[in-house]
Amino acid sequence: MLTQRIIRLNDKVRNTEPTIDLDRARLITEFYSQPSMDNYILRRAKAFKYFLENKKIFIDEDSQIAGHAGACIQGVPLHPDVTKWLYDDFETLDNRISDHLHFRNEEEKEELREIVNKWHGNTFGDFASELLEDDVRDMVDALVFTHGISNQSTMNHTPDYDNLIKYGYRHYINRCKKALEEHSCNDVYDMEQRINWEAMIIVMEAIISFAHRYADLAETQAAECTDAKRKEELLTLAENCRIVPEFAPKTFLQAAQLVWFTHLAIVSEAAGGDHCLGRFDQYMYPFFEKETAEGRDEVYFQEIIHEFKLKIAELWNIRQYKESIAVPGCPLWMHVMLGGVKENGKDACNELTNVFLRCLLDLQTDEPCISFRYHPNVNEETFRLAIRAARDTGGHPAFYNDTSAIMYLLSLGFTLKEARNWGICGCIEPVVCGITDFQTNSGNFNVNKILEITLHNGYDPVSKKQLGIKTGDPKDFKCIEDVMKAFEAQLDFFMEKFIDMANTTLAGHAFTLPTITASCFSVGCIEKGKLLQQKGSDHHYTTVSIASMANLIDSFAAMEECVFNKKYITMEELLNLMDTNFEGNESKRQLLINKAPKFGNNIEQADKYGEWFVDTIDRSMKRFKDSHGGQWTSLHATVVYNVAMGKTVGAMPDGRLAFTPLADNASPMIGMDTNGPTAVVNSLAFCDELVPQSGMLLNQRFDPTIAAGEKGIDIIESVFRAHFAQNGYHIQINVLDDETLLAAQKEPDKYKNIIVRVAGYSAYFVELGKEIQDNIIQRTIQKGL
Amino acid sequence: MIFNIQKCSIHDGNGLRTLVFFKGCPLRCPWCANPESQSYTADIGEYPNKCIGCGLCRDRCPQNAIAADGHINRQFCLEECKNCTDICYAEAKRNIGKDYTIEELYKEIKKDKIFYDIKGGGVTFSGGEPLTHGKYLKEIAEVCQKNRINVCIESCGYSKFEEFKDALPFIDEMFMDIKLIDSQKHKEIIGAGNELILENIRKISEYGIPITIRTPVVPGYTDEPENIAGIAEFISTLPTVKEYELLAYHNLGESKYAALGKEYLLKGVKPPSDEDMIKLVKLANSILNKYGKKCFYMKDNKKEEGTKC
Repeated sequence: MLTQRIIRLNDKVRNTEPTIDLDRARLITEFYSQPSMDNYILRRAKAFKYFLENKKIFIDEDSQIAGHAGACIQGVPLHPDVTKWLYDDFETLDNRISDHLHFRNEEEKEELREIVNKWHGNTFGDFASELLEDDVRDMVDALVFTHGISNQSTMNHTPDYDNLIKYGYRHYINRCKKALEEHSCNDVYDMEQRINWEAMIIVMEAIISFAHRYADLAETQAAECTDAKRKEELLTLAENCRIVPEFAPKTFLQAAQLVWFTHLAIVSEAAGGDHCLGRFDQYMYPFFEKETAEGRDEVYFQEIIHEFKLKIAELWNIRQYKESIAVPGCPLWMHVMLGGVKENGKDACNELTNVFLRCLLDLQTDEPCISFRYHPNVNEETFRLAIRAARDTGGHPAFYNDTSAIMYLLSLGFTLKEARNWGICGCIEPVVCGITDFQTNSGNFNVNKILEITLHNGYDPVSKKQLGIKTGDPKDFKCIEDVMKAFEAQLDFFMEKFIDMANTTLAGHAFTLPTITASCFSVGCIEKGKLLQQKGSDHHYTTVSIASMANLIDSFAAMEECVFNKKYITMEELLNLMDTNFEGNESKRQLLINKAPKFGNNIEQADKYGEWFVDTIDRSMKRFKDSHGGQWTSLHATVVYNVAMGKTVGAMPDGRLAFTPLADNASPMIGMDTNGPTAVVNSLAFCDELVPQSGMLLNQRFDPTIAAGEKGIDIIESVFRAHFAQNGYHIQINVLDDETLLAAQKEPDKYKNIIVRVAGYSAYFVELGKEIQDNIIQRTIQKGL
Repeated sequence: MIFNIQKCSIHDGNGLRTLVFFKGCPLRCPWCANPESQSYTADIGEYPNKCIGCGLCRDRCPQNAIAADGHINRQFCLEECKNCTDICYAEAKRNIGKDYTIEELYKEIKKDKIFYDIKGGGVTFSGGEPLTHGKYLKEIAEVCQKNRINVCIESCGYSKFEEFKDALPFIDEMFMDIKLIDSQKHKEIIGAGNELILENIRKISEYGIPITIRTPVVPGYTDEPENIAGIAEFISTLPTVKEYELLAYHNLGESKYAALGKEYLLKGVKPPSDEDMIKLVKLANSILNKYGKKCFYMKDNKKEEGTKC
């Protein structure tokens, strides 16, 4: 049930035009304008403190939880110190297609322009960009791969909320103080520890003081408030902000306030998103249980959950122009995890899980991402409630398989008990909450581009440069194995370049932009006196996003069948067809489409290339370690980079026309999976889903008439269970028919609240660019007959 | 011969099912939604909206039977000639019907075994008329049963009992049609009387296989209340029939007639309304309920028994 308060808050968040909030840009620039010989880490800590002390704050009249990123609802802070793109894309900010913002007035626009000009050439992004070698820059420009985390510091923090909620910040400050007392500089590098502990103390004290500012404001407002009920609420809010984050929370509301302050601080300190909210239904449960016993009803908890979600939904991670096109709808990828098993392997679903899921039935928000962990002994009622929520309300939650995730994490060096406590960082990637230093956005790897380059002997016909190595004239290839061998050699070559670039960038974070707040609450950092970027955590790994494997699989199957087996066409003809984009030769394109098997139909002749490819990618990256000594893992997800990447890839042997979108994520190519969802799931299973340790992302769209009623839930449940029984890791669904989506394109105002699952995140459909909307509409709809 | 294998079906049995459509049917219901199922040999299907106008089929046709717009004049077609479907890369002309060995067919069925095991799904043999392929049906059903795959049959009942009786031990459940209870009308509309059908249903029921009886409700053909009541009366005497399902006529098969170069005889017939369906369901239930049986039709994935209206 939605209360009036929540309806109003949702309305404010949804219908307030986002405006650029200059506080952060101004204050950081002011701070760094003061000459100083201070250490750069202490300077970051003090800059953040200065910001928290001086940023404008407000309490919304409907809020029970304090804290906003900006000085008003939908105020969007910018990070001119971090982001290089702000200079290049400045003029797009208030007129871009996706995620466009408003300036409050012309003066503020001019002020920001001045600030940005001041930082020009000296931002973190400039530093990261200068790390690129010329040949790698060419590869990035040709979109063989992207240069991730170059405009933000390490993302993907997973604060240890399980423990933080038991202690509060003072406990952590005391641990730093104790470490400092016992510390002595016996070695020159021991200085680093001292600096780090001091920096952590500065930051934690600053956040506590920041909370006290809200307490003061709430008390002032309470004194002036004539409404008795609101006065009471303001006094409670003030009391909460004096208790948390400094001390352990006593109530559900205080616990939510603590988590929110911490998350807000992490995103405010450095640009970036993807920070994990952990297992909300687990760490919040003791408060839920206690207050339920004291007589609190479900509405009390639901109001807090809704407001907490709206707080996250209001956050922005503003991106450079081309990324705003590639990942529209401003995803933050902040995941709340529900369900799963406890440390002892028993089902972890509880009444709070159900309450949270019922909240989704009442009100969906695009963020946070809600995820649900399935396991074979999952509470059936809760599981079906979760399916119902996803079916009826637009994508949340997405579904994950405990078995696969735990296997991934074991293979990454976690113990069994640790591995069972996993949440998500990034699109779908599993991490162990509180003890993982994981990096998801090292970059997207465009494997179809690499096939195109392979079939041109190392030359990229689009950028017209010899980007790859010479692996032989494809006209001389005698069998599909020759193509595979050449592809593997090119892949190895580009992978090495990519990993060198990503490792250099990751290392760069440690020496320019470490994240201090997140380090305080990641196990290992205080113990070692090291920040996350300096290898403070005990567990490290980094992933490469692999784009659109379906086109690659289909291309290999088409070459095998049409060129080498049946000899319908020669390799030379195929290359000509690719170079001319099949112009005047549509029948040959149809041949490649229809006479060769396609991924997603449970046909081994195609799927075997999926198995080979997943292994090959993994083998190629496993030749290296990440810059923190961790493993490189693969993630088969494109987000919606399949559209942007498609624009750089010419015609392919699978019959795809030049520069059109590639397949989304690990899903089959649009329109090519014609045998229903069971065949799709089986094709994916054939790829040995346990190999890519960061998962494979599968989107499935169901026809609403098929998904209707309890029988519809039965069908979806069967598909999910079978997918997971075969080690499938992830699946997310959209249950919307074409008519609804087409109508929403025509009359966006009427369909403002339709949420669709994009890729590891959901977005309001009407806020996506037309091209992405079309791409979602074209996703094969599973009808089952 | 099989003309289609469809995965992930939610009708025609419990759970998620694989539907295997046999080719060939002795009856000719004018409303048939699968006209490609009727002939016992392969057909050529034409799908003009897929045609890219490349003209390869015309070049290959030994009879010059293909017009400039790609349309086949079927009176010139040679039996068994599939030149045009072989060369049509765009699949605007497609061969319908493929022979499978038992092993090949089982391999396809087995692919979704993991799905069957979850909510009691399995394989459903449909058609065409599977009971007219008795020996083959027995072999494939036996393999499925040995591998613990639930076997359903969807049948019009028109086949000699001797032809299919060996398959019965391997069948878990059947869906059998009674279109018209009046044999004379049955003969007029469908081309054969219903005596053999009713006798088979009785024998199969006495053999002990659970059966759901189905009637397609086709306005002007089968939707007379007396027809439905008569069928319900017949059902009330059958020991293993628990449910009677009315299927609302739909014209989704119409485009298939054009693809086969056949004429659709029910042009303009509208599907029955929910109201009409509920009326007939209620009528049947007034007869069946006292025997512990029930009639329903599916609406929005739910069994509608007409109890609330």
